[in-house]
Amino acid sequence: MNSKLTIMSIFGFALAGVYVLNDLFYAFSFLIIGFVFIWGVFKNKNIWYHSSAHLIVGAILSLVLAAYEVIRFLSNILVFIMEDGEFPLFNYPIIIYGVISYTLFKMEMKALKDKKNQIN
Amino acid sequence: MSKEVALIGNPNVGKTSIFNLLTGTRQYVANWPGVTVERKVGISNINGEKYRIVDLPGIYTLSANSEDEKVARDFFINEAPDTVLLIADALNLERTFYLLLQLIEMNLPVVLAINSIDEAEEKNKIVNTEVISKTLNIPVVLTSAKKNIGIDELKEKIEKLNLNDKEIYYDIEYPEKIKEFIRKVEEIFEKDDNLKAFNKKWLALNIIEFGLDTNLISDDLKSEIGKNFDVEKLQELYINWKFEFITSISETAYLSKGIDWSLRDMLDHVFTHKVLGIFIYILALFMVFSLTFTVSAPLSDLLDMGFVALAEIVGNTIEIDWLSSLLSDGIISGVGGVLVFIPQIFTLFFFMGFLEESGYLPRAAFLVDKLVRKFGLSGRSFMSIILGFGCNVPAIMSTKAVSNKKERIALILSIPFASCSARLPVYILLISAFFSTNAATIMLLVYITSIFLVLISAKIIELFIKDKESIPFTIEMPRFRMPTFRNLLLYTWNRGKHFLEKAGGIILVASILVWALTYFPNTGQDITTSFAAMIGKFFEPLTDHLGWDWRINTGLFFGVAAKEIVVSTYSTLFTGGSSLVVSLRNALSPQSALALIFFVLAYIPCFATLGVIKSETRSNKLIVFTLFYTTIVAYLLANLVYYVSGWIL
Repeated sequence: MNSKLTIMSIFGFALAGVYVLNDLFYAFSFLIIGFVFIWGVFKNKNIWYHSSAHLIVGAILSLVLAAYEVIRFLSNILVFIMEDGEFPLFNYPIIIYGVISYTLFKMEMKALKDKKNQIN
Repeated sequence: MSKEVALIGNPNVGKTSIFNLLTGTRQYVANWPGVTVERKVGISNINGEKYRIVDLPGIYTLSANSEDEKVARDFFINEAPDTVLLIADALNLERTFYLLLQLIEMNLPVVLAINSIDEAEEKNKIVNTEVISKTLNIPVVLTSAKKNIGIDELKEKIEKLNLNDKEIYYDIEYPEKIKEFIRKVEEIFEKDDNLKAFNKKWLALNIIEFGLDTNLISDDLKSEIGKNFDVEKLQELYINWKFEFITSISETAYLSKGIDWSLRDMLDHVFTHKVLGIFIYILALFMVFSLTFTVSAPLSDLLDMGFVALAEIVGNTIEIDWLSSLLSDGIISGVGGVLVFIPQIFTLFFFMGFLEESGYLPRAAFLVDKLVRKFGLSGRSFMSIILGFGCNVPAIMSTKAVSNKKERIALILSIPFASCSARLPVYILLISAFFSTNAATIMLLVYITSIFLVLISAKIIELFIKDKESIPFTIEMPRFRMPTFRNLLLYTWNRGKHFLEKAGGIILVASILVWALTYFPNTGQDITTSFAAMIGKFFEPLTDHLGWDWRINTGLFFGVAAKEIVVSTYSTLFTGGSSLVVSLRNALSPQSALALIFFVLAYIPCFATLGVIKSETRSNKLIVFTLFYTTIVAYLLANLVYYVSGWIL
């Protein structure tokens, strides 16, 4: 669990660094996502699902960001068709990060459901 | 005369959804408490008979501590509805029983609708309606407003209850000492003619529950009761009995209590984190603003091209000079100048609606409670501020739920600083013209500034009001849920339709007026000597150093009526052959534009807001105060932004 969170947070911070000069919104988003993941690494004795919660929320935020990138790209395509400007850039790293996050989200949900079934 | 059904329940249990299904109306339903701030009335047709349905604000008790509790309690005392339809949440039944017991004690004819039954079933919670119905002697119906389940049965129960003319009789077994108190106090009340209209048993119970500090009975009666009974001791006995009674019903109300869904806990663990939570909230707003500018830009451009082409066609077709100018420069440029922002406005509302509907927004209120407390407000007040981002009018009305008077007045006078959606066209216009690469960042900055302006203003105003009462903030977190597309569209339409209404009303009138003031007295030959220019030039000594010329001032002057008029006025005044955005770039520096954005954020609220401040405070002095106060704050803010941005831009 901790290794997943650490790796995702490192990539999150790295992407924040990549976008800091080009797009403030993406930079800020990845910074927050990175923090959400890394926070899960630190232990919280009172809440047994602390790490899972951080993984799930971090993954949801990444997924929403990937959805945003798709919407932004499609919208810019429309502007390109209407105004004959430059062909818009598609930020693949955001999509890849989103897909990885989604996979982790599904895996974590499955693990939690199994745990719940065992308890019940 | 139609019969009356009062709709009541805890906040956020689906009252408005049931109201919509019963009446066939489309009132906005939100996934957070406090949406119904005033009673709404609709008509329901049940088997050919008309019923007047009254939707009351969401409350937990009838103790009349806050304005909305008082509204509900007074309604039951004064209007005695034919039926009280109490809506309960199937997942939190025990929270409704206190209110249910109070209604029964008032001897009101109650029908209990247990809503969100679909969600309860998903969690294997099975409600035992028979036990509740038989214990309390009331009709109970299971409903799901979301899936339109149980509404016909609900109508049947309402009809059946109204067909029976027999007197309602609730048999609740109170402890002996309470029964004796009720009996004797009822005898005392019989002597007082002023209490003829009241239910004596309820009045007696009300005194036990809330003590003798009530305005329902005279001082003489209070002293007589005080002499004969130890009310405090009875109060303790009564409250203990009541909670035991509620616990016993709650325990038998479910056949199966099921298991809790843990994903909500997971989300809440992070979303309500005191540090991360705030940053996630900022990120959510940032994303909404980014989407607003990204998604709607092509549509807005398309509309702009359409209006420019229309103005050109009209200008070339009509040969009468003044009429051609009125239609193309006045009406089409003025009204069209505002309408081109419809895509941005609807997109913003759509995504804001998503945040509200999903249940995320009340969590934000919970998060900032500690912060806003430092400014003398509570998290409940923050929800009014959030409402103010839509429109200041309902936001000010929603302060009824704030029970602390000092806090309420401070909030009413500070909410005009909450950046309402009418100001959006001005921001979007100026941001698109000057800061298109950082549009969402500037927008976020405006909204964060707006929140802090409200908080600082409330703190300052509270210093001048004497009242030391402090009530802790409690909020019931609504469940996270995926908003339905229908409800999101309804939310977007309900908020956005005002722009269309205004475009055909006040903006159209203002566009004609502004055109006339620019056209006369020299029939459009020289706009700089027109009446509009005279108005704008009057303020130039105050705005010259900010880089605002008379046209900017004229727009702000007419914007007092409604903020969208600022844009329609600029569309009329900046007609130099090029587009409005280009003309603005020639007339203003980015520094001046930023100062203008922040001035618009804070200056004089619209007439409708002033009207509601008057009706809520019943004070003309406060209206005059608001006019001067907001203008001075806006002017100081604009100067501050101008000089600070000079170092950055």
